Amino acid sequence: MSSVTPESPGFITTQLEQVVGWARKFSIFQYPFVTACCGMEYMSAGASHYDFDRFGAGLPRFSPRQADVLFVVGTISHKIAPILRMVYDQMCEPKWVIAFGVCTCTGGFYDNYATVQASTPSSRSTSTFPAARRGRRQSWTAS
Amino acid sequence: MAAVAPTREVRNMLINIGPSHPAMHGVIRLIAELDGEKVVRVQAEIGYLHRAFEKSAENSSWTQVMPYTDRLNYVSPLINNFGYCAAVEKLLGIEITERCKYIRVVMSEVSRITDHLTCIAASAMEMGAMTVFLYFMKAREFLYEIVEDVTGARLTISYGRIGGVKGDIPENLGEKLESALKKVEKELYEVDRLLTRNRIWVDRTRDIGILTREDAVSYAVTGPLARASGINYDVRRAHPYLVYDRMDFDVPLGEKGDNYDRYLVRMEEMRQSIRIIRQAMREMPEGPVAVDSRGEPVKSFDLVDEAKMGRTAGLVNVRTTVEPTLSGMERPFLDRVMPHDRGVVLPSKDDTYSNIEGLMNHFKLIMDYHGICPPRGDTYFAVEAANGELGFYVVSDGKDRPYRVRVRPPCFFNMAVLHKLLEGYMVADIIATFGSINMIAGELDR
Repeated sequence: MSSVTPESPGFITTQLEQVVGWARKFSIFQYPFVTACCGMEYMSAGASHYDFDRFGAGLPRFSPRQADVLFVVGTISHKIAPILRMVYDQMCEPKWVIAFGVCTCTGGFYDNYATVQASTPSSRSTSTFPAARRGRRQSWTAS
Repeated sequence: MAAVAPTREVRNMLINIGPSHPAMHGVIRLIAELDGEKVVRVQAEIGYLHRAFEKSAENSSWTQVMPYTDRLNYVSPLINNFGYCAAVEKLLGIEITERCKYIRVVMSEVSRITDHLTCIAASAMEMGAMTVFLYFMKAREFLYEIVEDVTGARLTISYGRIGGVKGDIPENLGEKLESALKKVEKELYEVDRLLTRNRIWVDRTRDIGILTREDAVSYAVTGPLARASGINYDVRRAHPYLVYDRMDFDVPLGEKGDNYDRYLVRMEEMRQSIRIIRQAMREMPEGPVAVDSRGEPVKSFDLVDEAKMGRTAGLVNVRTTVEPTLSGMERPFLDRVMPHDRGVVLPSKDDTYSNIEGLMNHFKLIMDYHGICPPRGDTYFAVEAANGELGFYVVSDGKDRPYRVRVRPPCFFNMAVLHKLLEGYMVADIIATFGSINMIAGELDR
């Protein structure tokens, strides 16, 4: 692409869908729905030591209306599930969900009356990281 | 006809905070009634993270409860582990080894520091001091690395075992721990300089959220909250367990019981914890080391293969190498930290892999209906967790599963008194005060 100067403005041709996709790719805002233990690892991942801000992924938005991806971090009990659903519904399309940790994905070893066994169907999760309880490193690399 | 002035109804405003709110760390809902900016009444709704800990414990064997206890107060899981272990050991009447007691003290204090770091970091961040958050998270990482070295995991560690700990600490832990503590001390110093005399911080915390001594007693508040209100109660001092009676440490006390006092108490407790860790590491005994090992260590897979083929004659007392997650469970190390009680303690991996007695012992403890079976009875044991007195009331009916495990979570009582701390102050103080409570939903809702 040639350099753009006031004398020769230059132009590129593309498709709207592509340029919108490109813009979205680099400006994903997250909504951290942090409920439990995984939140501690989420804090670690976000803070100074591991710093996921360096990938441009660090900006949390605590308003669902401004967020693109919903991080479901931690166990989802039956009492909190409707609130999670409400937060998801308040987000604008297009939206994504990441289930962080085994409790979120499958209920984990909380196989009991209080815990939602898979919070994913209620929120249409697109990615899951089920190994979170083995530690932060695994939680980001496992799929 | 005189004009009638229109009447205006003045009502208090109800404002709902949470359960998904950036400042409500964890999930909790506060319903506050406001008169202008002033908080008139507050109700806290809890239970959003109820994970049925106590019910799950009844469906697990005594050892399987351990991972659930990790997730009670997930900021300081080691203390929960040891609290539960101590309760069951009391029921069984086991005395743990000296070295293990020191390991438990060291790891409990490491956990206490991580907890206090997180509490101050989060509440400072909510009041706009992002630097403090980043500094303390950095400090916490240094300690998490130590925890990872010792236990194999950072957060959900399951390091406690009934009768001891999972395995011995790594050999060079002393140096690593000392270098980590030095770094933590540096961060503590920096944050002390940033906050303690900071005009904004003092204005936001001084004389805000006062918990009176009387309220603290009548609501059974313990831990840093009670001590900030001037109540000299620390389980480590009042009912010494492990080797805390041999440790030289101060119990910091506040005067007013406001947010600022709670901050100061937590800062000082971290320094005292560092003191305890140094002392415990210095005094930690070597403990009995198994001397009957001979020859070179064998890889665990080879050992299992040999044993499967029946070639066990030469395998008595052979040493093995194990994978990293099991490290510390080889015979020379395990003997240092575990009592020789076959009804409770898993055999060393060398024995499990190489001889039939070890294998049978292992399976007898692991299989359903065969594991640890404490005698009928009940007992209560309390430890000083980061938020206060963490008690476990365990009931056994003589079977391999707990009949009942009841937790006395310190947070629950701290949350019960929350409305006293918020009512009468400004709405903006809710965040500052709530941050100083250090509510951990895992242990609050269980």
